[in-house]
Amino acid sequence: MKRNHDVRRLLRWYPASWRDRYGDEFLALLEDRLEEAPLTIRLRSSVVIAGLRERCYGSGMLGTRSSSPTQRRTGSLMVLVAWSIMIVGGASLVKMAEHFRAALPSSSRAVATVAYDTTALAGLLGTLFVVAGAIAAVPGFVRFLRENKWPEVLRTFVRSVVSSLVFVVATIGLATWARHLNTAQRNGGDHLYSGAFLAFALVVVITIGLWTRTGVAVASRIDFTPRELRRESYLAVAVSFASIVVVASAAVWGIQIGLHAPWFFNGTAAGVAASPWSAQVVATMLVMTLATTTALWGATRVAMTYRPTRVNA
Amino acid sequence: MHEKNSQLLRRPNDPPLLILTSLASGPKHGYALLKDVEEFAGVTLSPGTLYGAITRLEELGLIEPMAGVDRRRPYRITTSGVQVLREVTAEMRRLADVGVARLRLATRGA
Repeated sequence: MKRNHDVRRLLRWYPASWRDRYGDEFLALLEDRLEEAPLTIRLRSSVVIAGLRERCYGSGMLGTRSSSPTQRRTGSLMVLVAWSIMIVGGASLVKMAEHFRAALPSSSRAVATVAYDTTALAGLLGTLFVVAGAIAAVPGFVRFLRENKWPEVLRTFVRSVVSSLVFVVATIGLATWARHLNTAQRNGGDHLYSGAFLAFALVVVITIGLWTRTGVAVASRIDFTPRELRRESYLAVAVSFASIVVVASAAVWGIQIGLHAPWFFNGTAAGVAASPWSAQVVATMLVMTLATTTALWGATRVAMTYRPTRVNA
Repeated sequence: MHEKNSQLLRRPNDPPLLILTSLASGPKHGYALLKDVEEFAGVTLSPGTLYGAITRLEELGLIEPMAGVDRRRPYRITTSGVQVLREVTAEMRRLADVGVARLRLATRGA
């Protein structure tokens, strides 16, 4: 009984349309299979992977099954998700880079400064492209409201609003607390404050994630005109270029710090021998790389729809 | 080492091709397909892989579903499916013939 329940739960990894078409017979196959072998981790994971793959194919993230407009929309939304991830990585980078100029010897400050300013500029440009994309989607959003599709995304919207309220309360609370602490206490000296700051960072990540999810849910339901979709896809490609510049210039900045002031990332005293690979550096690098990879994947999906169709003579 | 390589190159194990080959001998539902492929090709397809391939093949019109018995729905190969299977196997046979002929020449030369 429990086993059948487990098998049914595995089906959730597949998209609803697929479950409607193949769900029953697939369950029958799994049940037949389980007559002779247990539900192993290997079998479970193969079903999960197949379900995710089916979702990717169905949404236009993989393959050429979906139409060009679907692929273009999915590619653009992937870039939007990537930029949200990049904001998280970027916020971590900004926090990490506080007062970096003072840590560097004046002879090696120029390259790091140019690299950091380039990161900031590319980040700003990318954000402007995302805002332009949101503005370009306004006519479609109005149609979405007129077609009364709002209730379909209401739940995720409410979650985003609640999370934003928590964020505002947490910001006020943390700022008030910080005012009563000195610099050393704010930078790791007070463990309770450090813990609260980590919780605050988690709230920020969750809030960004929820708003992104709301944006994706709305954009997936908007009937964009071909012209609107083309505009969105161009902006998505521009955002992915911004991502590449952000990650490349951030890498140059990190290398400069690593070479000339490796103690800076670990918060140890200047001149003390230290490895530049702190947990925050590694996490930030991973997040930014994930963002850029996702953006490139999305931009590639968009670009594929503009390939000229080969006509056989 | 030699045996390992020959195992690797022994036969193509592309799931869609295995399914088409299996259905060429008559309609089958999912579980029967798994068992048949296991028997004639020695390949154990996972249920996820099997149904991924069934989905692709049905979309391409190479196989089609028949009326189901309870929840088990059999599939049969379509005319286009037969044609594709014929073309692919002919190509594989041609490649196999070239391989065999060249091996023969190599053996004589050695």
